[in-house]
Amino acid sequence: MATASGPVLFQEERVQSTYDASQWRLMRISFARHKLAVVGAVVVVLGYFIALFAEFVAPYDPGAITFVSPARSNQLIPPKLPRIVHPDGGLRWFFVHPLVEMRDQETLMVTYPEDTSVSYPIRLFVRGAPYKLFGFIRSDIHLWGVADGRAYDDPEKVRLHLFGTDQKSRDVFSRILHGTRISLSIGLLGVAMQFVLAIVFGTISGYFSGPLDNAIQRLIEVLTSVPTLPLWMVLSISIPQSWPVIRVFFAITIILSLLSWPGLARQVRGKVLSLRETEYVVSARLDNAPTSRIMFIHLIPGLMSHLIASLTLAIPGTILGETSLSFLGLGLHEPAISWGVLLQDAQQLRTILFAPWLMIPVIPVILFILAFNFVGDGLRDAADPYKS
Amino acid sequence: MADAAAAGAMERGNIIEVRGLSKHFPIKRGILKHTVGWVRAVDDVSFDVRRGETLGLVGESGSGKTTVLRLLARALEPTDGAIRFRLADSEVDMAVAEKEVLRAARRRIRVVFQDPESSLNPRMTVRRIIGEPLVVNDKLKGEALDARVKSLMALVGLQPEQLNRYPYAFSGGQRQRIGVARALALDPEVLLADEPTSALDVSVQAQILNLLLELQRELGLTVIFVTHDLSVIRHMSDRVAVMYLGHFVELGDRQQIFDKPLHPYTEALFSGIPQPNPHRPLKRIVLEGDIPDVAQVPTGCPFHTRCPYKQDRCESEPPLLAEVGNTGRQAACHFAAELDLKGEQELLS
Ligand SMILES: Nc1ncnc2c1ncn2[C@@H]1O[C@H](COP(=O)(O)OP(=O)(O)O)[C@@H](O)[C@H]1O
Ligand code: SF4
Ligand SMILES: [Mg+2]
Repeated sequence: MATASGPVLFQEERVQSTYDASQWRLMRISFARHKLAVVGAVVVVLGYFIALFAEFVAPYDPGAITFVSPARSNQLIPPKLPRIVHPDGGLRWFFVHPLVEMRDQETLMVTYPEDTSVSYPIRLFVRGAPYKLFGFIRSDIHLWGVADGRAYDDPEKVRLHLFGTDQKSRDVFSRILHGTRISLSIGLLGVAMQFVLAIVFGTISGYFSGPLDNAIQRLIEVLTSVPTLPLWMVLSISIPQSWPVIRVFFAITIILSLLSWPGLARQVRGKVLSLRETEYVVSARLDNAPTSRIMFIHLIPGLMSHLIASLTLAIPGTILGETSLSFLGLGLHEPAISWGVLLQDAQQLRTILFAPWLMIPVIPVILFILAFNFVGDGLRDAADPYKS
Repeated sequence: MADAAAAGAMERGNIIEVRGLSKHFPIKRGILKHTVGWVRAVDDVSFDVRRGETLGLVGESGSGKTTVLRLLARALEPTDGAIRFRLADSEVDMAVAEKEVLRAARRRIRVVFQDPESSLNPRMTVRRIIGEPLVVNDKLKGEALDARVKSLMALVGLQPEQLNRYPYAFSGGQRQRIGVARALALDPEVLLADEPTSALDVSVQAQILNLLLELQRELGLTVIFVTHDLSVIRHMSDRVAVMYLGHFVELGDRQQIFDKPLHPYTEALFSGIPQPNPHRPLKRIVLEGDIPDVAQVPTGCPFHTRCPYKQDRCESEPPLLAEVGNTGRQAACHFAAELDLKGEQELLS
């Protein structure tokens, strides 16, 4: 037999299990070495967890109005942290004092001092406003809340506003948590659309050179040469104001993706061009493998890891796009809740001066953009586990 | 062994007949990518390959060896010419075969690639790599596929139980064995190997070469083998073809060529062989001038710019590859019959 010379036994001391490790496992190992990327991944996962369970994680309904003084409803209450030092001097579990409204007779400024004679503890898993999780799981349990013994719709209900309230006396903290839903999913959905467009056009363009490639290249050049923001604005102005939130949401996602896929498609094309000439693709062709098999088994998996890294890096752009458009009033509107919609309140200098906490929704935008960038960098480095 | 094989091969006739084969690559310049010239990588080449033989294709880098092999496998579209394969159950012209004919022929004509690093998909297990031609062509799956893959692995000296490993877990020599197993998967008649050992450590090159020799004998394959390494050619081939600037300049029995070449370029090639014995230095035939640019192959004999035996006639009149006397050997030189060229041994003494 041909085995006379015998197989060359090779690095037998290497751990047996890594012989069979797939590309994804090697990528995971390499990703885990990237500390910032791991931190980013934790933030991202936490973000999507909040987006899924916003009703449970948020203490209040995002539309609920707080009445400190039943006479007025547009009360801008500043942020407040729970206390642990009791007026008696001792340390306690987190608690709050109810607020009272005071108006300075000379300046007419309204302030909200605490009534330190009473205190209510913060409790985990408290009953509050009822909600339906995912539209069908009924519950009224919230992760945390002030246990004051009153019903959620009692006007006297004592509330803790970590990030203050907006001009309509709604809890900014709860609204930011609910905003996660649209702001983060528009990133995912937008990138999913870009992914499909980039794969389809990039692979076709790279694999079949010639007139088809030329046509796609020219289209990409045109699309990349138009300045994005003005075009986004033009397109979003054409969205009818009467459309329901969900339809506007999809329209905005499509608008954002339509202008962002060319960059990705170009990366895909370049990678396909180089992969097409690798010997294993030529070899598959000589094996009689049909074009579809070469594309789906050899080409696309070969560029998948790079593509996922690029896509992760493209998510912040879509999140920023939605935030910018909504901030400018061209994207989503109330009653939709997104970080961009929340930031509309911070448009006027006057409100920023009186209620600087209305700018807090900028923080999650920055946080998640950084997180996605860290994750994307980590993925890009991990994308080629065989290189090391 | 080579003699017996060659004699056997002669009886069984030709398996491949190449006639007037050319491949010209356009040279494109500028933003508009207009063609400014042509690289005549293979230019009007004709030769026969005998059934069951090992034909060694040798020549300097850039002489067109890889292009010839790729044309035979129809990995490239030829510019011109015919490539007739007389396979066991059919006759095919690979230069023009389409669809089903090409599909059927590609089962019998298989390629072993130069660099196992890039010819094995790093994302596939050995099972899927060797199994790919079986899945695609024979729709094998499950147990039947596993059994076939395992027997192929054993055939090339791999451990069948390693079939779930990825290529990176194998050494270079083992990876090339995987490449050979894939090439053998569809019971080929012809194996086209492009420098199958040049990417490997010297220590494992001999193992792979011996494996190919054993398989060739055992399975009755016809092997066309490209290399720029004369010691590999001496070890492997029954007959040798020498290429220079897209032309076949000499073709004949290995022993006869090594003993007494008929083309001045072959003689020059031998004088460049690495020294087996440093105390008996070769009398080097120093070629004058550089290898000409393939984009501008000289007129007349392509070798005339460097040939020490050149005469006026060589500059204008291109010599054709033809039998020299009735030696049964072919050379493309006007003076092949008259020149008394030195063989490898003479150059050594
Ligand atoms: N795809 C291609 N496009 C343009 N020129 C090519 C291409 N492939 C090979 N060539 C040219 O053809 C000539 C012969 O190449 P090749 O067949 O690879 O030679 P060898 O294998 O003998 O080293 C070289 O000059 C090379 O540059
Ligand atoms: S034809 Fe002339 S130039 Fe060419 S190899 Fe023969 S002698 Fe040399
Ligand atoms: Mg080559």
